[in-house]
Amino acid sequence: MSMGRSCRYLFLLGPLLASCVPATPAFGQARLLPPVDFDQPLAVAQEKPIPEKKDDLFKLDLERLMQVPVAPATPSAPTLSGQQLVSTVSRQESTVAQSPAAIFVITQDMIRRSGATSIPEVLRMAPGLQVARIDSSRWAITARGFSERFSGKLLVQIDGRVVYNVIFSGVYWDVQDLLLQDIERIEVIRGPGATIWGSNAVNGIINIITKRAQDTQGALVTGGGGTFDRGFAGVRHGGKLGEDLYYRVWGKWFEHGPGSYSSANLSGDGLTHDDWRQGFGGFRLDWEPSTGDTVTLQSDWYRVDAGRSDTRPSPIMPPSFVFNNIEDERSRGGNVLWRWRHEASKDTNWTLQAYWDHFNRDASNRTFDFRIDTVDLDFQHQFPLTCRQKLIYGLGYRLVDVNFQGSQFDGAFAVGDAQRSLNLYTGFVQDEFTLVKDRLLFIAGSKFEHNAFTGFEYQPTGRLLWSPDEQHSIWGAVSRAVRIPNVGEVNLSRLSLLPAFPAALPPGTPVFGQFVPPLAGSLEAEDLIAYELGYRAQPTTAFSWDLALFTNIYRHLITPRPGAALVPGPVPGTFVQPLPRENGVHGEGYGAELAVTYQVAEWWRVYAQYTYLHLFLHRAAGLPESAEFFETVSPHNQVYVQSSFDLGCRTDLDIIGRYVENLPGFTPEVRSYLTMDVRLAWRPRPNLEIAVVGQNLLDSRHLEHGTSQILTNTLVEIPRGVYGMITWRW
Amino acid sequence: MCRNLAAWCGLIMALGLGGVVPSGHAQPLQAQPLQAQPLQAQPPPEEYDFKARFVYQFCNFVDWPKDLKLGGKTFLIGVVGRDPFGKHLERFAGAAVDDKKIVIERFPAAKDVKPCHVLFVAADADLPAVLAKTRNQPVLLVSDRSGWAEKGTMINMYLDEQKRVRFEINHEAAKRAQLNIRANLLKLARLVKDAPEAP
Repeated sequence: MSMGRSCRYLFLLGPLLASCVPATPAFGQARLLPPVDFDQPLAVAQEKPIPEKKDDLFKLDLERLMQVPVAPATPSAPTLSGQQLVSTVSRQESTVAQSPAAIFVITQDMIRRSGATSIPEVLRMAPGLQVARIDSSRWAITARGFSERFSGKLLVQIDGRVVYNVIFSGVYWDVQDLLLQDIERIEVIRGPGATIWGSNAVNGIINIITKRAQDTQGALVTGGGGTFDRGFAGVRHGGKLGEDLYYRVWGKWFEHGPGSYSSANLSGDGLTHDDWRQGFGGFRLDWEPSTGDTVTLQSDWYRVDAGRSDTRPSPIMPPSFVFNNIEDERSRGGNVLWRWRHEASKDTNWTLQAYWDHFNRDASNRTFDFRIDTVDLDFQHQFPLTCRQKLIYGLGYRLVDVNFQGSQFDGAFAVGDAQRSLNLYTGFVQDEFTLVKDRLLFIAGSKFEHNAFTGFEYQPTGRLLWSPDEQHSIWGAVSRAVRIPNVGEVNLSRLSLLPAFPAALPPGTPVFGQFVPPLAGSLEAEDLIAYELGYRAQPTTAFSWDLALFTNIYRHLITPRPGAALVPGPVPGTFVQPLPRENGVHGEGYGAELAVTYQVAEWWRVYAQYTYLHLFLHRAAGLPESAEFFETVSPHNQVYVQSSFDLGCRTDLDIIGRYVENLPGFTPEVRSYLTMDVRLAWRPRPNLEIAVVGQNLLDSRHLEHGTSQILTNTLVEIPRGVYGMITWRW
Repeated sequence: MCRNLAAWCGLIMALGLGGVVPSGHAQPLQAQPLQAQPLQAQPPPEEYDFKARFVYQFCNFVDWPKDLKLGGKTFLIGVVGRDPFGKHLERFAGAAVDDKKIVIERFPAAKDVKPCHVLFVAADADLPAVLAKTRNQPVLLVSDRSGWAEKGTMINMYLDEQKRVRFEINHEAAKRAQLNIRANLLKLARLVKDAPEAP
């Protein structure tokens, strides 16, 4: 890695930071376009001297022009520009300006310039998301609160494939990866999107869309390494197999170093057991057999090894009754997805999609091994109902087969059913009604589904979008969404050490709480009614902002209830407190999310995002205070500011500042942190990029998340990291 | 764990090798003639320098209706919205297209658009308004924004992964405007059709 060469550019950093407000003319004037004279009369133009002989380059014919790579002009503020393409809101391509939802789109350019090396890191820039790195490979990512590794009110999809895990409704972020260069865009919606996407899309949806094979032709090689991101490499090749058949194959490997023990850990400072390695590979085929038909076949396979450490209560391990678990989690999995999209006519199209997803996790201590296979079929059809109405409906079926093949360390997890198959039947219908052309749009719809846990559920929404002119739009929405109980809540019993509950027993008697499966049918789905209001404005081409406000009313949140009679534990002298789950908590969430983009000059762009969130939870009588845990584990205030400079000479500089407020609900408290990422990239040729990235630069390490309520993980601080990276395409 | 890694490195290498070989055949051959030119020795040309050349080249591959009495001896190229070309398009002012001399005019917004042969629709322009304004007129609409050819511009430029300028053509839209795009140009383009969109 040519550190020396890139370091030359670092001196630019100082003056730029110092002169952030006054524009630095040295860079600015050279690149500013001449002012456009709109009133230029035709006559003047005609009097211009006619070139004596045409520039040699005029003679270059088109075919040869088409072989020359160019230096792309600065993309001008595309982030919030209302014209950005989105498809998550209504399952059909639309634009941000036309979307009555709190949507944010992360483009490929933003991914590249963020310096992120994994999808979760990329998501930090999205307003309304809480992204906390628990350790090297684990993340707590939520929208609008309930920040926990295992909390599941967020729907995450990659190319239409649902990647949340039915055992705990959350996402194993360590096995969700792609060659980041292949991502077309990531659409992030805060708020319910359950009407078209189904349960679990309660507080948000993250929809990751990769490029078509047509758009990834040629070869790409990328690689690099550094201190925390120790090493990574990726290759991709795209080509053409036939007249209308394109492919790409890709592979990726990386190794992340471990974080540091938090000073709060008893074990003292040092490196934790959480290093993370993975290998990914896959392909995608896109075929257009005839006009209007697109067939996609894609598949990804991976092996991921991630270290972890946690402490588990163990009634079979006296005298401490604590098992210090240090192990490697080995995940193996993959998927195959097939999709056929047919555009029958100008306004009518349908899509048929099927996928199979396989996920297998073994832990070296056999603490919790399982396998999940998912088969999903989905059909959607859109057609005009009248000249002002577009109707879209869909039908889906999903079979999830969960197999706990060998959780041998029963001290922590005891499994109710060793195997369980879940059937999910869904249907949705949504009508988009244009009340006033280009000005007033009304959307109404509902999802209907039948699931294995709570039976029939409906999730309706009503949305209104008013665009008084091209530059402004105001939208409002009322929606209902549910999170159905997961396999973990219904089928697993889990032990945890209870510090507080036992009263009548002599001090020191080990008592374990044990989550027990509820009586069949006694758990209801968690329920949300969300009221949202948004305002988007792009007063000038250089400046735009997007504000979303929301009130969420939650009911029937699931929580364990202590109080049942103690039963003797597996070792004489120990006791177990059964903890049945119930829908015992309700609450409200309030928040505001603001994203602003300002193109200060041709060469300088600023993007900023502020997220405010406040959750209030109320427990039913008799429940412990811990039932309101989530109230205090999501930051009230978050700020993200990215300043992007095009320094000229094909050099980009990005400086990102991030602030996340403290999380008092954790013990010990997670303190607020302010940190900075810097990325400097140089393209000596249009197809070659050399970048140096520094992450978490303002402190040597910091804690981003506390220990889970479900699993007492070791606290890990995220260290400062520097890496270099080369990307070459041809 | 190490053995697994080795296996994966192997796979990636295999993918890489598999990928490198086929692409090696096609591209260097085509790129070679240019390498001899001073163009390649210099830093890459600016995007809009090249896009301006493309716009000029397009004019030579399109036939306007014979009875069109537009501009007399001038060939009018308009730019609606914020002109991204800077000085680059201006260099073609005075150059000839079919014995007519190019004149370039800029229109701040769709409502200001006057009749012209070619109209470049800048990325910030209001495309539906431009389409409405030029409906049924023989105006070659050129743009460089993803998805706009499907929405009705006749030629839409884009950059491929190697940052080379490519273009797509909406032939139906051209036919509607009574413009004949010659086969030589169609051959070089990715052909698209109108996007399915509700009225």
